[in-house]
Amino acid sequence: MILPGPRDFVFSAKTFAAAMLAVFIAFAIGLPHPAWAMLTVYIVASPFAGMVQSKALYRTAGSIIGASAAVVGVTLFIDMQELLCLFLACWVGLCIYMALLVRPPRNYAYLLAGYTAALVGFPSVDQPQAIFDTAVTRVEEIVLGLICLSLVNRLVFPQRVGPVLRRRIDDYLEAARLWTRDVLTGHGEDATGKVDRHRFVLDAASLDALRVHAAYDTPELRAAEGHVRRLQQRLQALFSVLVAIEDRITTLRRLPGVADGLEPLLLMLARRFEEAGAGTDDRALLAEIDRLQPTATAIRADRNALLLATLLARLRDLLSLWAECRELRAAIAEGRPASGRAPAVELHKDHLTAALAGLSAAAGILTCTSFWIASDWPYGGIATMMVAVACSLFAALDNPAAVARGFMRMSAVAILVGAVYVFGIFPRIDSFVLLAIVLAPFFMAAGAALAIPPLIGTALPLLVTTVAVMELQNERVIDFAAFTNAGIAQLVGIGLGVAVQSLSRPMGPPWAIRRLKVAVNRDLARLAAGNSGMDRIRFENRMFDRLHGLALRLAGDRPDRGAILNDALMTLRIGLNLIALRQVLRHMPEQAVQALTTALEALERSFRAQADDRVTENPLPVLDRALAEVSALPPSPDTDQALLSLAGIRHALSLHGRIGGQAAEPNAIALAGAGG
Amino acid sequence: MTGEYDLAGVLVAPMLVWALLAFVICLGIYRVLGAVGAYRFVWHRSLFNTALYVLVLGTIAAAVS
Repeated sequence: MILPGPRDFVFSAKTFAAAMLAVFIAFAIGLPHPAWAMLTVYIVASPFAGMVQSKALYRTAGSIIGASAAVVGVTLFIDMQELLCLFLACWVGLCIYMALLVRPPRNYAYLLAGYTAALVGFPSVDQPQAIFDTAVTRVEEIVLGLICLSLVNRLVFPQRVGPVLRRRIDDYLEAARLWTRDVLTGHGEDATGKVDRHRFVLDAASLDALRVHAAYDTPELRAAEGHVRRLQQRLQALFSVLVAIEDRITTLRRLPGVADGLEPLLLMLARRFEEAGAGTDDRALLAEIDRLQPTATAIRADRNALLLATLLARLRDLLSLWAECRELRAAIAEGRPASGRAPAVELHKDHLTAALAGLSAAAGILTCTSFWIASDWPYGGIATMMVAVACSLFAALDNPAAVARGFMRMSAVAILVGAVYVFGIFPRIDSFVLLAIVLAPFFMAAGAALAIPPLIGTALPLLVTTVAVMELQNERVIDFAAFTNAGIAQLVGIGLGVAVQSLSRPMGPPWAIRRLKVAVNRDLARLAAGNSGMDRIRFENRMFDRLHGLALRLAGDRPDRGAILNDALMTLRIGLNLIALRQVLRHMPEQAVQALTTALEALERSFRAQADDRVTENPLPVLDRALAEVSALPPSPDTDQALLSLAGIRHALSLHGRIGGQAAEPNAIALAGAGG
Repeated sequence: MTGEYDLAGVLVAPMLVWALLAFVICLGIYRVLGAVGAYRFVWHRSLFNTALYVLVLGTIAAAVS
């Protein structure tokens, strides 16, 4: 059990103050649903100013768009209940689909656009004349809540993302250093090596989650964001280089004779990465690398010399990347502004999963509205709204139904808490000060849990549903029947959301992993075909995003974790070699182009087959023929590069072993064949 | 106090219009202050900015009414 500390209670007190300020203003200027302003405060609240800012921005944008959509829908389909419900259901589904294709914090705007339309539109099905007022007040109340929260968050004990971001960067670099050392000393595949590698991937993901918010923090941090993005890209490149180095070293160590000259160099390099601050002068190391470089003729005569040459090239990359990373870290620490635009980050997108989530939400909403219209249940609107909310909030998760179930349990508890307030306490108080005093104990306690990431899933539904069922109002009528009905409608709505999601998306993480595998193979096929839409940076970005996805989903003690990650790493390297090969293809002599094109086509077919779970011919013989063809050419930088890339691809494919002629594993969990 | 502003048939409270106007003016002032480097002498930047905003809004309200 994690208990909140003093800092969490300060956060909770700030949030509560902001909520009360919002409610007070809402009462004072006569807004009809002060609870919406308070809800907003609790939904957006986060310990960091930058996070509040980014969420607030996207929440406002999303609410305005959603409310406008509801106004348009209600005016278009006035007197046509069924069509209006269909329109709103499709709108929510579409928004969820769009939201799943972008990342936080921007996806928030799409989600909000979706369920704001539901929150504004469904209550208006019975009374369309009020739609404009409902839409305007909803937006007003949300903006009011956000302004109050931002003010309190910025003015009272502001907590900056900056120091945390710097700490994460240091963690990330440290993880990179540790794993580099493991690889160089040949411990990359040991238990420690695997732990370090996993940490590397996870640290990258957590840094990324923080970086997106840094852009909305103080101006200084906004300037650093470009550096951070560049640093991430360098570290991604470092990662792929290390993967390449690792299995070249493994292969070379098995061959007698070749490794003798290599060992002293690796030892020198490992010493370089032994301590956090050790050495910055690479000249001795580079000289040593140059000394070992085999000649151009040796590369052609001897496969092992070729392998050694590729290893040395990667070691050079390693040194220069590491120097760049340290330079960037220093620039961030000193707050030097970034020059020029940082490269955009391209991420993994999964249209099928997104569409499935959108469709299931629309189906759930339609089911609920049919029941509502058929049965004339006066609280059906609330239930429908909750279906939309439950489907939107958890759409991005692998296993939305399980989380939504937890949400439902906490909502039930919250309805009881709300009942105690509404029937036990509110009748006895008659002023705003008293209201704040009676609300304080519960909200301060539950609010503190909001500051602790593992507890958010419990605290948020508790707080939000309590606020929702209390329906704070200036003159309230105590109506037990209405309260019970609304509470039941809430639970029915969330329950239906759970049901729809467990029906449509029951596969959980294995499905997500499988989708990642398909996407990887598609990208490889595209690279082999020389698709102009793919370049190195874009591919590396996407692959790294997929690696994060895999690492997060393999967080437990799954026995096949190592194998799946290894497969993914292998594909990263094959992809990079394909890019290099494509680049030199133009400058090659005629007969070699012929052989290389045949090889690339064979590879493309094989990757496509892997993506579709089909079986095709083994591309290795074709690759060997191309290798022989290129080896026969007179030496030049281009042919050398082609030779190195071909050898790299062949090496990865042959290590991988599960490719081509053999059937892909029927088990959906394994990323079998992702490498081939 | 003046009456409500009429924006294409939608009546808007004057306070809202002033608040937006003050916000735009303040964005300009923040930028100038940042360029000059005045924030080096400010202890709590957000607090300073908020106070400045209130002053600008107050000035507008006083000038109009």
